[in-house]
Amino acid sequence: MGGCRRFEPGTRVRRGFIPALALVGEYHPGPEYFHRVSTPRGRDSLGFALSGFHLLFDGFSQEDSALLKARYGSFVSGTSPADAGRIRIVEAEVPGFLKPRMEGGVPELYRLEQSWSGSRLTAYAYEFAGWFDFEERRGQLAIAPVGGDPVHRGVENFLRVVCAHAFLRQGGLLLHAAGVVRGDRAHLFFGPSGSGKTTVTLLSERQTILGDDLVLIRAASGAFEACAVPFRGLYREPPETDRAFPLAGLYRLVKDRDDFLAPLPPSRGAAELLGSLPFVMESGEGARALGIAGRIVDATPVQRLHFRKSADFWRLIA
Amino acid sequence: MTTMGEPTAGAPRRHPTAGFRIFEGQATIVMPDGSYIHVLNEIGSRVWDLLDGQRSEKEIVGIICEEFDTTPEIAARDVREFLSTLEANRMLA
Repeated sequence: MGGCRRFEPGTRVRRGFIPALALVGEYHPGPEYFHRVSTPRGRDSLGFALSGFHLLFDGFSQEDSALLKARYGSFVSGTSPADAGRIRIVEAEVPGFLKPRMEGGVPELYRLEQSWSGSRLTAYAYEFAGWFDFEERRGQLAIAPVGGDPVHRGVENFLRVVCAHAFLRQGGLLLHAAGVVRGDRAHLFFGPSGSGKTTVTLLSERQTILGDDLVLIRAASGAFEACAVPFRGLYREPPETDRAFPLAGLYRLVKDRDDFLAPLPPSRGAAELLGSLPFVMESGEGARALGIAGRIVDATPVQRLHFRKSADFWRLIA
Repeated sequence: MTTMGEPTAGAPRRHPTAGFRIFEGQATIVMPDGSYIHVLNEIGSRVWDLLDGQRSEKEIVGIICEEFDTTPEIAARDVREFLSTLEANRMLA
């Protein structure tokens, strides 16, 4: 049965803008979309320094700037080097991009679409759509009013993708891992969500925490080192340092009733590392990532760390 | 006669976009879509290494028989089965 819905007496009607493109489906932005949207959110600029990768964002509102400075602390500043990549922030002018799907009756955890055209990476999820050209070192990021705090989420999720590819191009890997510094050397604990990364950081009192979600491994003087990036999972504190530390150990986490280490053959260790790389494997960069993972496991073999919910596992790690 | 590097007709060949490295005799392979990462055992890795488009399946079976403790019949059956699996996973050219 059709007909108009009537407003009952006393119903409060909010006046406002009704978008021409209602969110009845997903919006998949193409190149023409990015040409069309050009309204900045404000006049503020913010520079991000992420383990030697510099990006300068233009077009934040003052409110955006304050929020992002508080969130990213020492990783942001008002300036950037002359060769920093530049990204224009614009209003999305659509209500959103992807829509959360149900998987087995529960909402999906996250979904991201990404594609390459030459050196230009395009990525979009629920609240953002953006591109970055790694040759031209410029890009654009559109933020849609999806959910709470879309600026922070949109900027962070876009940064995660761009950084993962940027670090790969520099010979590094952005690993889905927790990082803990002990004795001035970095131990990385990795595995899928739920494997215990945040637990490890919580069980590592008085140690320097590099992060509980993403940690960068990069080459340095013929060896590898680990350093923090400002992206975190459930561990609420920002990274305690932006220093890099020599890589001492790589541990694939396995929750168990006992604490023990089991060595992995390098073929399996490299595969485990590849399985913990966000964004790059599904976008045709697997061969490049394998080359880097191979050099990492040559220098630092991967071990499987079976552990209980106790700090005792540190006794196994020299 | 075939110039070195050119594929021989009928000779099985790894997919040119497959990325792989053999670590201590075991191959780790990634395909461009990255959805699966394959780790092969020692014999599978040796066969994979031989899939350069220069050797026929029969020649590969011969090499496997020379290098591993197996019979020609078992080697031929296993190599055929392995190649079928690779083909089903779009890992051959």
